[in-house]
Amino acid sequence: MDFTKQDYSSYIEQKSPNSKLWKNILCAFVIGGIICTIGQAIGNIYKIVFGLNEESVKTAVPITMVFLGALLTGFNVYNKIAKVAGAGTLVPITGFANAVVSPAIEFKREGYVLGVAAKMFTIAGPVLVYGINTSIVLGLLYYLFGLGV
Amino acid sequence: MDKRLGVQTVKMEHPVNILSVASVAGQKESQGPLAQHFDIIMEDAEWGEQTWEKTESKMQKSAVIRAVEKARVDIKDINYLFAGDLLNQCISSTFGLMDFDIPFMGVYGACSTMAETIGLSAIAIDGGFARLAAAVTSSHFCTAERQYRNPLEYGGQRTPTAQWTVTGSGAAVLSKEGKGPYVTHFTSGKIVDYGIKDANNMGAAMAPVSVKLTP
Repeated sequence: MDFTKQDYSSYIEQKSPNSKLWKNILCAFVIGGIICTIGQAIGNIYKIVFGLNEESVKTAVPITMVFLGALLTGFNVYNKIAKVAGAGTLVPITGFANAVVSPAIEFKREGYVLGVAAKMFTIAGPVLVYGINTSIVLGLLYYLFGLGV
Repeated sequence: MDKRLGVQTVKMEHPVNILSVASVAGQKESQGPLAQHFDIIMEDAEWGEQTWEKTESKMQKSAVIRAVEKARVDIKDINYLFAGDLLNQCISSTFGLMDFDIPFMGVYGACSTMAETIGLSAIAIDGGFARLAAAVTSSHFCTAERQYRNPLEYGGQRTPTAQWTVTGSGAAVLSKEGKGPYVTHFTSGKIVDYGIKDANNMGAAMAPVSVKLTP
């Protein structure tokens, strides 16, 4: 078979199966929704059963969700859910926990300093850098121009 | 006799004999159609070792020991070990084959490593530089994921075109004389880039090897 670079790319494009878009969207929606519902339920329990105030609940829920994400990652369960859920497990804060805990587990064999600690943020690094920088920019704009921003 | 037949192919003056071959395979591989042809099947991905890299080293070592047993030669008589794997500094090969105390030639050829090491062994023997040579390679899904892609516990979704790295090792012992099979020619590959940018679609990046090049 004779191919130019262009032809080869089109040939591969044509032969490559596409992701099942609708199935992925549906799974992401349902599973992501379930995770958020669990978060809401936990928030309600903290408010009603433990009597925490609004501010405390806003702190307690992310802590709990991150803990659950980390726990499930440790049990090698989170990635099994993610295979089906895709964005549904990636977007919630549990996904962030998974992104930090999974390299920590993987690189433990290289030691606690050069392995766990150094490599822990290889996946989540960009989230931290750009997330924090965005909040700084928005904070500055808020400070300069008030709530109208 | 001119051994060169064009840009990429060379012809052996005397066909070089493949004395023996041996293989080690992982779980997934042992469930496939070639299962009965593997010499050793690992009971799990760790195979009793503390790290995946140590497992891969053990795989290479085992493949060589088995191939040498089948060849009925003394391992001390092997003049060169041509070996490679996917990892930085080919550590699975270097640590795995260290104890044999044989001159070591590290080769990085990714999926072409087996063919490349057999080819190099053959030309070393045909050129009169070795009487016996061994060609070894290995890969392990977990070590490859660690080096090239994501941690195993990471919740990422695989695209339909993402491929898996084999967990396996193969070794071949080559000699000057024997009953065959033989290496009669060696065609070396050139590096070809056909613009595939998806790092997970390894097959598409490698397929041009069988495609006629048009500039």
